[in-house]
Amino acid sequence: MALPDWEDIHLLSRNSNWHAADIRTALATYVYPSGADWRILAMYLLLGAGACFLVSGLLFFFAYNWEALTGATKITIALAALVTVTLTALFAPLPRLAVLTLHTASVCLIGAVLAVLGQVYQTGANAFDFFCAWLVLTLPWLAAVRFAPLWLAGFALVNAAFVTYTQQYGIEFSFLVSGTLLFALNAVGWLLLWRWFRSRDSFRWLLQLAAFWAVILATVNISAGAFDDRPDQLLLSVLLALLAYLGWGWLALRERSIYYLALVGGGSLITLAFLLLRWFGSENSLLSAGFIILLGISGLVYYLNRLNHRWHAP
Amino acid sequence: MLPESIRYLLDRARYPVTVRDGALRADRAELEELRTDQALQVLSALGGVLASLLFVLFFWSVGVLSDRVVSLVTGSVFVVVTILLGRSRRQAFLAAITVTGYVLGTVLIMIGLPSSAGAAFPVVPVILIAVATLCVSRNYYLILLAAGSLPVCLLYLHLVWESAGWTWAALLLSATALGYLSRYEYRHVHDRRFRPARSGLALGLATTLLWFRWAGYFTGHDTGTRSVLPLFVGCVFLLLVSFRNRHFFGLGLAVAGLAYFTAHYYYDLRWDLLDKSKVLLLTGTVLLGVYGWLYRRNHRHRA
Repeated sequence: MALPDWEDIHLLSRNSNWHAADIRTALATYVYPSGADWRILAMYLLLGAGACFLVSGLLFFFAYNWEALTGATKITIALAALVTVTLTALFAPLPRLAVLTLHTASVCLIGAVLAVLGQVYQTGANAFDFFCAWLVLTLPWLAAVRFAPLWLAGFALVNAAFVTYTQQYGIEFSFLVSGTLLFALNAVGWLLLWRWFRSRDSFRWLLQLAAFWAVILATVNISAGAFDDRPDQLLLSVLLALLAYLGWGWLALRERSIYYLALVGGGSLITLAFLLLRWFGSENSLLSAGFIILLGISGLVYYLNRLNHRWHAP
Repeated sequence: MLPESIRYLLDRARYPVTVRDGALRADRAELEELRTDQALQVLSALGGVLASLLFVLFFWSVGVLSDRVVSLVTGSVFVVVTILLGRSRRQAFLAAITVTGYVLGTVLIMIGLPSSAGAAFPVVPVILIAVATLCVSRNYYLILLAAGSLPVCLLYLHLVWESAGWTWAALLLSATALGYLSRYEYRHVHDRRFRPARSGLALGLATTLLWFRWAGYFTGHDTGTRSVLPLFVGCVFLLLVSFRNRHFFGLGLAVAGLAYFTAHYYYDLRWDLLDKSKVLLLTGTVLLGVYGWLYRRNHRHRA
């Protein structure tokens, strides 16, 4: 039998003369965390906050004295931090979560080493070279470590490298083209993540976050790009987004996931509203866009709720 | 026949209980019918806010906002209808419409106030609407918006009157109310308003902390924000209270707040890097020391 939860306590207290002392006991027993839960929280908080503060304090200290340090010392400090963290992750007898966290820290420290090298030798390296080198050096970690926060860092690096590329080398790209390429890159990145990690529960939030980011990109790209006078590029962006949305819709129906349907539906409605604003550009289009969002989202939520109930009916 | 989990609770009651069987079953069926996925709840709220924005722009572009009486009357109609409809639980798909009615109505009323009323006066209708909503409505989104708007009104008074006391009052109000709801949950667990009010207050507290950090930039004076301690203490308070009551929304806000304020500490130019470094090193060492002590103690305990 499933143990009582908050909802059971809520329902019983609403519809009976249940004594306050019993309600209190029920909440303490079935809802509130136990002593062991509090201990786990305390341990995580102390370790996480303590390590963060200590490392930040060290970084601040070196930042304060940075100008006074020689080039060799600066590089040695950055490299020593990277090597120490990596070796600790590889060989120290630590719990699995600590090892994975240290590997993620190593990936962040690669960026610090590259930044120091660039500063000391005045290589003239620009932002794209920096992020690209960081991404390439991160690949071994991505190949070896299956840890969602580390893959999130990899995902962020891909985005940063692409954005800096368009700002430095791809300046002739229009807003729509660079936005569409970034969306396509993220959609492909999501597809790869889904192929490799769809069976892992620990990667579910990353898959949802990556899809959310891609839909935001498509929505902003088409909504803002609609005001540029490039109909062929706009059409391409819309078609690409439509293709990706159809894919997510198909996946959502197959896996019975309301999340992707809500994401795709919400993104489409907002895009549609902005396209309407663009094409008609009058006061009435503001009213129509408002109604499209309001009625569209209400209708979508109504349909998805019914679908969800049907999928998860006992 | 009562559900098994509820019979389990009844079996363990120390005092005699009389259950209104039919009402409980009806309540449960209604709850089941209105159950909504979290993604849909967020989508509805976002849709409501976006639609409100578009309608405000429409009213502005057609000149409704320039006529204060029309604006006031239209806003009042929106708010009254929304609150009255929100007296009962409503189908989840109407959430976006509910949010739009409340936000749009409140904004129109604020714009429609006479210009002679003074810059601080708009908080009066917002507070009155919030109190009326909290008393009358049972709708999740309306209660959340009403509870969250109360501390925000006090922050607005800080902006207008340039007195940091209002921000401290907002901090105290939201933290005390949240602490009370957490401590005395057993007295209010039967109330449908409990969950949204708690989420609204958590949102209000997080907004207050954010304002606490940035008030100086908006008011032009560095009033009342000389310390970063309230930011961290506020986030840790929210974290502990939310963890105690398994309130995941509050927990998320607290973690996001801690991450934001810690990252932002680096860019705080009111102290030099060396002082900040000393504080961080000392705090980090103490926290890790306590962690080590607890770890050894637990280890010994288990052994």
